[in-house]
Amino acid sequence: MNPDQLRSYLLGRLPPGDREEIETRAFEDDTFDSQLQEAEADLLDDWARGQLVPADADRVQERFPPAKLDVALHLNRRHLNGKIGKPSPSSQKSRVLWWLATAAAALLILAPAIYFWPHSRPVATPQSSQARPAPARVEIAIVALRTPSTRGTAIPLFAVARSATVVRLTVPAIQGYSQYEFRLESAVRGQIARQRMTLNGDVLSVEFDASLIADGDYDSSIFATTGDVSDLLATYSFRVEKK
Amino acid sequence: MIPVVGRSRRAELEMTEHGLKSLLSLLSDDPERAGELYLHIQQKLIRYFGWNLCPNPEELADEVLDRVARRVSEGESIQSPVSYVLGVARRVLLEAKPKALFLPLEGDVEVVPQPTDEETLTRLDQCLEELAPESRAVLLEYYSAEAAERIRVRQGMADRMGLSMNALRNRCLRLRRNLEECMESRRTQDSRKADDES
Repeated sequence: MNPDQLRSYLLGRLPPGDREEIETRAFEDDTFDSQLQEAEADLLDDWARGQLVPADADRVQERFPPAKLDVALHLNRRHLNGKIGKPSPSSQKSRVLWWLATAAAALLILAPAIYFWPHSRPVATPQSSQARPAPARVEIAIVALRTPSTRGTAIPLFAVARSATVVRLTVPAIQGYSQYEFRLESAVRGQIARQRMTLNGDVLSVEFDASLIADGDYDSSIFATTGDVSDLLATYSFRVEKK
Repeated sequence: MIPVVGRSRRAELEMTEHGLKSLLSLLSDDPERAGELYLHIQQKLIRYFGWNLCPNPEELADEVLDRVARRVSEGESIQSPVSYVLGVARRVLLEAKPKALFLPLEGDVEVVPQPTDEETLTRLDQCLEELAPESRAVLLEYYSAEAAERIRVRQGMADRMGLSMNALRNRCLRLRRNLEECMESRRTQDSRKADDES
């Protein structure tokens, strides 16, 4: 099995039959299992070095837990910053100069950001030659869909940081349609967002401006759209508290 | 040796000692070897559920082993334990996905302040310090190569160390997994500390 197929498996892009083949082989063949684990480590390292295309980088962030992402990100930063092994005495001076230069550059770059964007908070991004400050974003991973027939069950509560500028909602994908629309309604203000969703493998996602939501109750609906026709697929209610 | 590490409390209550012994004896006649195989299969299950995006892979792994143990203790004849375990895992995965849709999320999904890069880097350094110096050096060198150079660098390391590629790979995967577990553990500790202080 070639490395690309293993990577596709890890990114959730293989069809069910191919997925099962890899999973069966990983269970029955320990050597293959360790190759698959190594493919995961290499994928995470490529993500950490900014060497993945954006779609793949997004999927890595969606699919892997924080501990794995942190290790990959910072293990590679240590490497990229030349921290492998003990620093030699001759490199100490150049390290000091490097830090001074970096601090000066950071001050020049961040000063206007601090002045103009007091509510933004940069988040860790993989190193990339085209790195730019990312907007502070919060992901609410909604894993529960509730149909109208089950209304009345406990409403999930999500805390959203006041510093967030973008909210990203994800739900398990509902396959079989070409276009999906997300509608968000506030109990107080009525409809506040209506946007197309993005389908990526087994996840449907939508992003909207965090300023649209405040403390309160919301109803969301997911529609499959074909031309002017919309079919309601699922509804989901939740409560938000901004902190 | 009956492995007791890595089992959730719920699973401990559900799997009887008889069931566990039956399962272990299915894996191997040698109790020590059976324990190793049990943990080995448990790790495979955790990875399986992790790669299938289950939020609680350890619990589901224990659920699978619990079911297999029950079947074995009930006298079911199992020719290939590993294939059987995978079959049960597939069923548990199918069952878990709709359940996950209705898990109460209040308090489970919480936005926590992102640690600074410096905090995470410090955490990583602390975890690296817990490794033996040689292991630390091997780990950092193994994962230092760019994509195009990986095979050459890793083969060179294996030759130098007198190990097969597979043995070196497994060693480094184990070290990396230890690092990830250490990071997760410190992250949880720091988060609890922050909650206590607030």
